[in-house]
Amino acid sequence: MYFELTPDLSEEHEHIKSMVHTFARDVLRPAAKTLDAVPADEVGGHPLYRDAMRQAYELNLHTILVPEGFGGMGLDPLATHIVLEELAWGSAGFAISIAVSQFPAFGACLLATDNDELIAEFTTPFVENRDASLIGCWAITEPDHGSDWLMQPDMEGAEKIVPNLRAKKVDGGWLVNGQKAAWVSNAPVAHHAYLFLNIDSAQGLRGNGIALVDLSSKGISRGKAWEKMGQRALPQGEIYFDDVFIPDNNLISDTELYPFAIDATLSIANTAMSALFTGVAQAAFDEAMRYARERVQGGRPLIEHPTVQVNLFEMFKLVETARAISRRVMLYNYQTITPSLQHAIAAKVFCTDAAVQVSHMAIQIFGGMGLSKESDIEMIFRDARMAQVEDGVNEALALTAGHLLRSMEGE
Amino acid sequence: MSKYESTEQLYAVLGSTWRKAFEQEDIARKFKSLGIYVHFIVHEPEGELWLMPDATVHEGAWDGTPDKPEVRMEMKADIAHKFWMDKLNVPMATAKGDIKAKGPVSKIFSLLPVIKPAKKYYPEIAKANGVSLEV
Repeated sequence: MYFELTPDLSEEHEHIKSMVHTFARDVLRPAAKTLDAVPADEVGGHPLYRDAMRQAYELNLHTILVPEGFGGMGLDPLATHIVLEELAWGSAGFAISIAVSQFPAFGACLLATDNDELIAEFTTPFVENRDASLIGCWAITEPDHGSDWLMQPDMEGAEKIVPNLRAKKVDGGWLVNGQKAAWVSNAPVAHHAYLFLNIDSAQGLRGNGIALVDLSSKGISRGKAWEKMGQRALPQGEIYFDDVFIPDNNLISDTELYPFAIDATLSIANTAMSALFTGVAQAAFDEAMRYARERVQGGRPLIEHPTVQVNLFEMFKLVETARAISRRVMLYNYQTITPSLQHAIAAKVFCTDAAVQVSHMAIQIFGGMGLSKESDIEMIFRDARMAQVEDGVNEALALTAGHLLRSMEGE
Repeated sequence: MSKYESTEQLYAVLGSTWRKAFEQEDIARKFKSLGIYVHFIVHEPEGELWLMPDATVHEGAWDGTPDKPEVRMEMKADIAHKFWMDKLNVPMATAKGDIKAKGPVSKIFSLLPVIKPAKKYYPEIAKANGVSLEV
């Protein structure tokens, strides 16, 4: 456990940190290590995945983003950061699975606040669920459009990019056709989707909307889960839509609301990613520290070697800086309903880069053992590397943030 | 032109609506469980309204120091009127900046289901105080 710099951490914060750390250490890390070697198609149905998710739900960790007025834990921003960081310290894959499961329930609170019917369908049963028999997903990425989705609707060329998943207006709702890509987190196991789709193809990305969808609806099928290099405890896969009817009531963002909705969603997601990968960086640092104390080379423990000390200090510096920026951004972005996307992106990019750099340096300290499946560090490194791509390739996110900075010119 | 002619009229309507709401045990209990101060800042006409954590109402500026989280909501009186008449799309109003909200997001969203059953008291109180019910 790291040295806590925040001076006014309450007993409640200390308690939740200790509770989630224990869960991450005793349940998530070992389960993730085993699932790392399981074929992707089998992860979602694997007893270890199911049991770890059930335990997370029993601890109510699946509702940390859902406001308490809707039955969720509604944690304050600092507690939210602590929980996300500790979960990912145990396993980035599980942490993302638990966090993203909340998106349909949270999306209903964010964009359909007054819609009792949707709250009753997508939020209430989810927050009351304790056995992980209800799982949500965030379905945005597509075969032809990954980072495209991160473009601001007012960016040049946005009108020329038409997403794969398109909805056509019909009586009483929308008829949806197309597919989401293999990178939809939780898709193989999800019951509900916070679904991004195009509702006016003539406007390209400016014609997008968001719907809440029951994935047992007629016409929906799942594709094969892809084998991937890391975060293998996180089930990811395709979703196909073949003449799927979505009622008008389920369209929670039309094209007018969409710029706000995408900003809010990306801000929340990127800020969460920054907290998660601070946890991954911390995990890599902790592994390196442990090994450097244990491993004797040249007649003394590695930690007694000046070059190792210098490297450990560099890693320590990155972890602390990641925690500083991710907490700072979360304290702001989770205290307002109009968050700062450029700060969220800055935090996501910094923290995921830091997690890769720290785990890379940790492998150097481990030497040959760091390349072996015997160690956790090689899995942590692969988990970290995924994050520079997921939720937006860091370079594409930088473009979006740069566009936002340009828009701020003269203010 | 604003639906409200004066700050006094604003306080009479919004203050009375909240007091009436807090007379309902269920609403008061749910509000108290949030453990927050809610600070409404209204423009055209100008006014302030505080909801205290013990489910009491204070009209005008309050010079105390909140010892619990503060949710601050700022809007024009006409937007507040539209909201209480149940004719406002809250996410859209937020997106357009018609409502500016600060404070823990979870608390902000949690307020809305608490307020919802109180909306039914507004039309009668507004009408009794000379506010047109048109939106």
